[in-house]
Amino acid sequence: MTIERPLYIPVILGTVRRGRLSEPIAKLMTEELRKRPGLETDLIDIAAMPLPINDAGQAIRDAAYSDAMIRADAVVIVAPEYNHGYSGLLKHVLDSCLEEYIHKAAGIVGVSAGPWGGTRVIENLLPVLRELGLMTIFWDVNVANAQQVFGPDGDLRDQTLPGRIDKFLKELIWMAKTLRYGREHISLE
Amino acid sequence: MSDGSSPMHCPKCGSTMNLHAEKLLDPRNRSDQVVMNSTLRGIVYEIFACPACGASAWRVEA
Repeated sequence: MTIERPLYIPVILGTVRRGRLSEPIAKLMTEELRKRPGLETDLIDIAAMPLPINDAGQAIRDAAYSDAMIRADAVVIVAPEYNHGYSGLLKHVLDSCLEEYIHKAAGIVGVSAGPWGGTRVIENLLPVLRELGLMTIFWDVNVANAQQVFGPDGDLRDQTLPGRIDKFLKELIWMAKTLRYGREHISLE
Repeated sequence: MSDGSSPMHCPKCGSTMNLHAEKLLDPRNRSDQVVMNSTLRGIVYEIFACPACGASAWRVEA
């Protein structure tokens, strides 16, 4: 199988909170993706999106976000865990599209201020992503004690993180390539 | 291409697209009821991808 067009794997930063600890994590994911050849990425910050709250679902579909999801072969969702769940505004954004996601790969980076690395938010997101038609991978990135991952100068203090990210991205890229081939060449019988 | 469905042509390059998925959505309003699949009790969308340029398209199942 020849991959000619670069894979496109955007990173979705799934919180609008000020002082969010997920932001440097999302930037790190984007940097790691950019290191890989044959791949393009963008950081999609939901805090920078227009998010009307007087409607929901595909009625609030944002053209730029929809275009990114159409173009995407996979998505990385950086999801902070708030009260054992995902951000309501992340769900608001995810729900704004549907057909765009079908048979695309998804990987979740769970982020928590506590010791469990967002395991609960990942488990809570899986059925949502499944219903949206996204194919989730079995690797996660769990970022625990997020306030300690980076130093005050932005230096990465958790040196185990790059190795875990590498495994996660290898699987995500494999799934992205496989699903692209499936979408474009394997017909529903 | 599903049996009985007309081909979908890529809105970007005109190539014949590949039907790779069908997705069932719940009807949300009265106009959705008109196109609802009565057996499945929802609206079936056909999802296509272009093997030439990678574009996506979708339509309600006929």
